[in-house]
Formats: sequence, C-alpha cells, structure tokens
Amino acid sequence: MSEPVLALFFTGLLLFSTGVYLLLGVRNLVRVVLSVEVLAKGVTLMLLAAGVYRGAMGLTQSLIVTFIIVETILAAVMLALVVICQRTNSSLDIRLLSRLKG
Amino acid sequence: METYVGSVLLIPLVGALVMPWVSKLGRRAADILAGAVGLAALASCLALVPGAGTTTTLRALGATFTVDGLSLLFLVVINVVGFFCAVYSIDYIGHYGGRAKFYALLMLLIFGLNGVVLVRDLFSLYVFLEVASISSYVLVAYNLEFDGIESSLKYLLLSAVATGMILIAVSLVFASTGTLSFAELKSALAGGPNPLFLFAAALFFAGFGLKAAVVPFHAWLPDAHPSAPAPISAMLSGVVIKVAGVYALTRIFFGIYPAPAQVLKVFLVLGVASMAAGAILAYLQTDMKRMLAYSSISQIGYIMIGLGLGNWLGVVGALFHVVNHALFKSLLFLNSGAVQFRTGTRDIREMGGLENRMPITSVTSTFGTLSIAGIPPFNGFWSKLFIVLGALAAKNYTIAVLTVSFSIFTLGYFLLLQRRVFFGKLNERWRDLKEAPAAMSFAVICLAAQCLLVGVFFNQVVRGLIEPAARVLLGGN
Amino acid sequence: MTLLIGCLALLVLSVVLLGVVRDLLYASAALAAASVLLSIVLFHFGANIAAAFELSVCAGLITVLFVSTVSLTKDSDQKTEARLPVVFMVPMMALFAGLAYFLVRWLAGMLPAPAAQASALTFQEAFWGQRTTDVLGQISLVLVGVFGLLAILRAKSTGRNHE
Repeated sequence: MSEPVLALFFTGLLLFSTGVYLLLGVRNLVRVVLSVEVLAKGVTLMLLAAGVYRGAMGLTQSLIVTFIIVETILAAVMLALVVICQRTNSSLDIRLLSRLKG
Repeated sequence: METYVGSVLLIPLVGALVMPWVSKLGRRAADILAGAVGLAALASCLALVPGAGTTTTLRALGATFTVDGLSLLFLVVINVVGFFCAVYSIDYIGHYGGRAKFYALLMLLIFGLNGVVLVRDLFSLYVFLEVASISSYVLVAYNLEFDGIESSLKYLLLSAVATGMILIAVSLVFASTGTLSFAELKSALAGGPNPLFLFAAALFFAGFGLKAAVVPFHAWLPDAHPSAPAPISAMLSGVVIKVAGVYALTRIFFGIYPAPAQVLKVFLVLGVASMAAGAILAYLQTDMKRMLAYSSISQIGYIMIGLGLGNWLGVVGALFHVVNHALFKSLLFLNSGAVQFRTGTRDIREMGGLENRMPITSVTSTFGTLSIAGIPPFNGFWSKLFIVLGALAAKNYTIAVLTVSFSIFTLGYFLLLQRRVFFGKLNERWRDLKEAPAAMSFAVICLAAQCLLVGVFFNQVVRGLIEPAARVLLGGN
Repeated sequence: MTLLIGCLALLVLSVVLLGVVRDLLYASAALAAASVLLSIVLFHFGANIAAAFELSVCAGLITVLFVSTVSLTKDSDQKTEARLPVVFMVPMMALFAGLAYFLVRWLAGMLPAPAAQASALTFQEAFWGQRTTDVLGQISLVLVGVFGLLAILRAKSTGRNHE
C-alpha cells in the first residue's frame, strides 16, 4: 500500500481515538461537542483513505459530502441542546450528567 | 407491491412535511393527521405481508428500496408500535407544548427506521439511521427539563461514538472490497473471513451493539428512558434498539458475513451477560421506567442468545421475540406513562392499589407482565420456548437452564412491580385518581390484545412473518 | 508527499490545541484551522467538491455555530476545565499514535490490491446517480434538523396547549 494512504489511515485513527478520549475526559459541554467534531474529522480521513486506495474518487466524494451534511445537522442539534442546557442549569459542566448514574 | 414499499416510506415523510400547516387548522387537525399517517403507514406495511416470502424492489428516481422477509418483520414492528405511540401521544403530550413538532419528529423517526430496513447498502443504512437517531435525540429531550436534556446528551454522545466506529468499519470494508452494497459484499466475503474483516466485524459489533443496548454497551439506555416522554421510551425500547441494533447486526453478521462461529459465540456470551445483568439490575430499581429499561436490556439478551445459537429454532425464537418484545415492552412503557401522567411520579414505593382507580391500565399491565414473563397463552411464552428449544437442539444445556431460570426471575420482579403499583391497598394519596385518557387507553388496549392474539395464533404469525425472515438469515437469501 | 505529511501534522497539532486551550473561542478557531487543513488534504487528492464542502461547511458554518453557542453561553463556568484529561492528552495521543501505527502496518498487509477500476464515476454521477438513496435520506435529515431545532429552542408554554 502506498505511503499517502497509510498516512491517511494513521491520522484518521489517531484523530478518532483522540476525539473519543476528549469526549470522555473534558468537562465543558461545548468542548465535548468540539471533540465530536474531531472524531468526525477522523472518520472523514478514513473515508478518504479508503477511497484513495480504491481510486474511486467520485464515489468517495459523495460519501464524504453526505457525511459532512449529516454531521453538520447533528452538530446544530447538539449545540442547540447545549444552549438549552445552559439556560436550564446555568452551567455547562458535564459532571451534571453523572447525576444520572446508570 | 412496489407501491406499498413507496407508500410506507413516503407517507410518514409527507406527513411530517405538511404537519406545520395542518396544525394551523387546530389541535384536532394535527391529532387526526398524526393518527391517519400512522394508520396509512401501518396499512401499507400490512399490505406487504402476504408477499413475505418474496423480495420486492422499488426503484424510483434512481433510489432503490428493497423489502424481503427480514425487512418486512422489522417493518411491521416499526409501524405497529409507531401507530399506537402516535395515537397515545394525542393525549399524552399536551403539557409539553410543541405538539405539531412532536408529531413531525415522530413521523420522521418512523420514516428513518423504515428507511433503515429498506436499503441494501451500508452507507445508506448509516444515513437513514442518523435520520432516526437525530429525531430520537430531540424527542428524548422533549420536556426541555434538566433530566430530559441530560439523558438526551448522554445518549447522543455515546451514539455518536458508535456511529463513528461503524463508519470506520465501513471504510475498511470499502477499502478491501470496493463496494458497499450488501449483495456484492456478501459474495466478496464468501471466501471466509480474514483478519481485516474480523477487525471490521469487531467495530461493527461494538457500534451496533451499542445501538442495541447489549451489555457492555448498555449504559445509555437506563438513563435515556426515564426522562423521555412515555411514547418515546416505548419507541426506543420497543423499536429503535431493535431496528438500529438487532436488525443491523443480523443483516451484517448473517447477511454479509456468513455467520462465522466466533461471532456467534460472542452473540451468545454477551446475550447471556445482558440477560443476567439486565434482570438483576431491573430487580433493584425503584423508578418504574428505569426498571423497564433494564428489563429491555435483559430481553435483548434473549434475542442475542437465540441468534447466537444459530440454528433454526434459535433464530426463529429470536426474531419472534423481537416482535413480541416490541409489543409488550411498548405496552408496559405506555402504561407506566399513564401512571406517571395521573400520579405525577415514577417511584413505585409511592404507589399501591392503583387497580381500583385505573382498571384498564392495571389489566393491560397484567397482560404485559404475563407476556414478558413468558406465561402461556401470551406471546412471550412462545418466543422464549423456541429459544430454549433451540438451546436444547444445540445441546447447550447451560443456556437452556439459564434462560428458563431468568424467565422465572423476570416473572418474579414483574409480579412484584405489579403488586406494588396496582394491587394491594389503595394508597390514600390516589383516592381521586382517574383512569388514563381515551386515546392512551385505546393504544394500550390494542397492544394488550395483540399480546394475547399473537400468543393464541402464534402458529400463523410464525409461519407468515417470522419464518420468512429466518429463511433470509439462514437460507442464504 | 511532504505537503501531505505537513498538513496532517498541523491537523493533529490543531487538535491538540483544541484540547489544551482554556478559551472556547480559541478552541473553535483551532477546529476551524483543522477543517481548513483537512480541506487542503482533500484538494491534494483531487476530491475538489468534498474539499469545497469541508471548507465552507465545517470551517465556515460549524465554526459560526460554535461561536454563536459560545457567546450565547457566556455566563457559564468556562474556566473550570478538568486538569487531568488535558495534562494527559498528549501522552494519550502518543499512545494512540503508537497503536494506530501498528494497526495500520498490520492491516496494510491484509488489504488485497485493488482491481483496475473500469468505471471511475465523476462526483455528479456518483452522488446523483448511484447514491440517490442517500440524497433522499439527506433531504429528510434537513427536515429533522429544522423541526429538531425548532422543537429544542421553542418557548416553553406554561401549561397551556398550543398547536
């Protein structure tokens, strides 16, 4: 496999795992949403890597564009929830979530 | 036939689209539209049932939607529960405000789930899954109180990680085979799994297992449920975790991968873990809906066990349990919602003797309890029996014993719940309690009736709906 | 190749910044920078339309959404970020990098060589032709987004039923 594709796979996995790590670790809800975006970047890189390896750029671009659209709508909904959360609790501390211990 | 595939998709979508305008005509108009859309979608879906053994494809404007036995089973589950939840909502969501938006989002949830089972492509499955998921995130948070928002966010974040893992698996599969369609992947993978595919399989299992609330990925469900509006809890436990989770798992691991033995073993082990952990944790709860949530995790365990056994009886039992659990779990959730609606609490320690004031709720709850515990002639008995028989057929006596034991345990804690909430002396607080409103009662009566009828006529249901689906999974369709 | 490695390295760096900086506005800026770098990477491989999308939507629209959210939630306790996850971020990333490296090396050996692609679709053909099902999904997703945002941000009525 060629070097560029390996680099893409590597960075994609790295960003994805970093995003998950941040999501589980940080406290501020806005930063949590940022970490979801980070893991989305990782996924984009993985899709790109797969597409470059296959040489099917038209199809890959469709997948990436669709993914971006879906992620954007998700981000909008997440941020709206964060805003409402702030309105009801005057705090964006994620430790509040652990009140609902499973 | 194709038109029904089209209508089952389009009706909820168009319904959601026109809801804002129709609701301008008044509250009743919105209610009627919601009910009508649910009914029409259900009718389209039932019209497809006679052709259960065949595969029908709709090709419109370049998009392809296919229904086969497996899709049809889940389609029935989605639209039956969806219709009754829509009717139930007519009386339930009054105090939430935003009635039209609720209906619209519920219809989009149904549309998304219908889409998930009708596509034959991994990436399209992801897109429609997101349609359903994002609708459900908003619907869970609908009360806009602290607890609703927090549970929605927790659900959302875990779900986002799961989706990410699924997409990484999709990229790996795409990189190695160059295709995303189920049919082509199936032939590409027929040569036996190599480590790359097993790695992707692990990611698929983690991702979809989280959506199915299988142990150890179950943590979000008990928190998502209590705060969500009751019809949404019913949809989540009864439908979403089955479609987003179980359907996707079966489609991938039986439809694409040739049901490799290692995967089935994982199904079996995690199924037993879910069955046990869910039941034990359910027993320890005091919040009614939380107990029902843990019970869902336990019942998903039964389904996973049935699938993990891999033989005809096990798979038929598992698929039958998908249908039955959807029916009786949504019934139980809707009833808990009715109790909460009238009493204002979910704490079972504060209840007692409600059967005197809420007879319909009490009787239908009893139906649900007997169904989930597996008492004949209710539906739950048959599906659990098939799973146990499947275990015996596979000479797996441990599983058979465990399944039966936990069924008895389930009966135990559900009877306790029934007794504490409905039977016994009427708690003085509830002296002036009224029965649940008409629409809510109608919905639960119908669901309870179905629990009984499906149990009595199990033979027809199994022959007509379940076996075609099992054939898709095991017959190499 | 060096351009690619450079962009990817800067991308990882901006993600580190995102986790480390205290001020959320700077963190959003770091995300925007990451998006710009990602779109350069996409351009590099000829995925022009995807790159344009990444630039305008992620670097543009999502950054605007984040900045609006940050300004709307100004009063909240931004300063009390947990020390531990931030301190451990870089070491954890090094760990992930190591794991990813071995994983990629291992998987690289598994991938079969790609067969010569006879049909190389253009973006238009692929998006509107082959993936029309996804387009339908996205249209409905827009509806979900609209209704969802309206539902979340609705004024809460105090007990009376509207609509």
